[in-house]
Amino acid sequence: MRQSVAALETRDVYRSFGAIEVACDINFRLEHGGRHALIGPNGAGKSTFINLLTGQLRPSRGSILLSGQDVTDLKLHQRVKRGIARTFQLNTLLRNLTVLENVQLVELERRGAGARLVGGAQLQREAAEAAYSLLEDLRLADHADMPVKDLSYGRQRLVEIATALAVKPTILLLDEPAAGVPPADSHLVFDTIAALPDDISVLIIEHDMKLVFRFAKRISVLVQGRLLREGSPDEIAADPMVKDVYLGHRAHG
Amino acid sequence: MAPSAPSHPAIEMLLARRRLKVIEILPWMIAVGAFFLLPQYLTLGSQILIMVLFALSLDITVGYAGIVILGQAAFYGMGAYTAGLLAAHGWGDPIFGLVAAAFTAAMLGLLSGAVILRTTGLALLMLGMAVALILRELANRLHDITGGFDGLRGINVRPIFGYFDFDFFGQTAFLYCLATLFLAWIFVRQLVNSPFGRSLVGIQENEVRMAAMGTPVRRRKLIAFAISAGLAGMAGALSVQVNQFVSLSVFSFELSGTVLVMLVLGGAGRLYGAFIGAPLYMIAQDAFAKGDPVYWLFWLGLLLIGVVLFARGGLLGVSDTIQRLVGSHLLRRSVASPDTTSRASGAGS
Repeated sequence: MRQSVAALETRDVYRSFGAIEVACDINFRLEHGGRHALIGPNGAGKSTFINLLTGQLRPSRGSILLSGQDVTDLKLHQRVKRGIARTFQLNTLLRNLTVLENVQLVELERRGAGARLVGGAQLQREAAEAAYSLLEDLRLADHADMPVKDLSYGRQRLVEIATALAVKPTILLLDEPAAGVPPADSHLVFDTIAALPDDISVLIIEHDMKLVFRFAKRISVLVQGRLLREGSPDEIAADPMVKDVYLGHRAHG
Repeated sequence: MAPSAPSHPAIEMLLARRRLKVIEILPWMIAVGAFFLLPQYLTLGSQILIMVLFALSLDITVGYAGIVILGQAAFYGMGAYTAGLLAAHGWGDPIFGLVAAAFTAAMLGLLSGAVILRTTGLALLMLGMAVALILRELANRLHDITGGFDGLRGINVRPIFGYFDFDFFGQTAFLYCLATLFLAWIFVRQLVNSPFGRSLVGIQENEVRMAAMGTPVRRRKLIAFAISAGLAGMAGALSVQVNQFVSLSVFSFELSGTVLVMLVLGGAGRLYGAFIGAPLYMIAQDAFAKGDPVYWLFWLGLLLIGVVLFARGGLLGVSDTIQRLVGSHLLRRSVASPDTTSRASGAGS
């Protein structure tokens, strides 16, 4: 059907935990520059799918291709070097470090300086400056010197996104970026995601249908480890089966 | 400190960590002062310096990388026997022994770490103990080489640089230990503030996150473990060279435990926890243990419970808290004015 090479593609990816099939022969394509949402009821295997994409989890079989190259055997940190970045559903930030250092550490790693034992002062300065300007872009600069744990939850989500952007990813996987953010702050997260540069291909897992339909150009529906449907937002919204299994018994608006 | 700097205060604050603060000279002034003022305590002084180095080595793993291990004596002992055996077989040059001990201990750290660092938590704790136990048993079995239970005989350490002999009063030994510790401190201070050291702190806080941001976590932990082992090996070597004796007790569980207690008491992950905890422990031990060894351990136990329950950062953590409480409103008065107010308006929009 589609001839071009996808930014990220899975072929018959399968993974089970004992008798539970959490990913069942998933064939998925994230196009270059795509804005793709993955939706599905709780326990559908959405986060597991992200973990398979990043390498945190190995598929039992099947393969994962990054711009046509097989990365199935690469570990988590190696795939990051190839340009896959993610955010976590629950904040996993380094809570006792400052916002700036959270981002700076990623900058250092991307520059290949993370293993520098002695010296590296200049590198640390450059990384800190790059981190600071990224924080300015996300309107977090005022909080740069605060420990992450002192930030509001909404801002912590933004820092989470900032650290992922510091990887300078070609592919960004957002695992429920707005989860737990109080409604008053959710626009912070929404605006940031809407403003992501076009050359980053984005896959987002989200329960908030407002965000999904505002942001996504394509939507895939995952149910019990299987891709049930894929289509444009309009198609998905109109699909009776999707309505039934997912939208139907969740009162999202 | 320097508001005139061109870049943002947050950046300067982050980078300021590397700059030497005046108070960091204090331990060295005390050590040099002790050398001149307390000549009768130089032997104890040397033992303290050795334990500071040992606890400092443990701080890299326990304090910075978050690798909680209870078998650091394995590397101390490895270094001790390396230096001891060299000195007993005609290779008595202390510097050479020190370097060789650091090397063998680091190699042991690399090999054992490659296996045991695959685990965490309780399993890691047990495996660390197991490494020390295995080495102890090995040294016991290789009686012909190590002297077994009776300890190694015939250790003959040459003068330092072929000139400074280890004297009866322990002056050379003290200065030798002090110089070694000083160099180790410069190295460790560099290390913990380097990109490597900061990534260790990140790993301690959240391993999965660091990996998800591109850090090869296992490799980095292993390197930290090996460096820590190497420094512990140097401490062991110093002990043998100064005391001219080594026995199986260098691998003992008690030693592994003691050094951990010293570190926790002083404050792990703060670079200076070792400099507080080790002297405090050893001076208290020396002062009280003569009269009533049981009683002293009782008080130590009580202090330890207090620190673990109420002051997780050790004694240094307590001092930090006091400083923060006292300093916060003083700081607010002097620093808050320049640009926080003007920038804050941007955040609200």
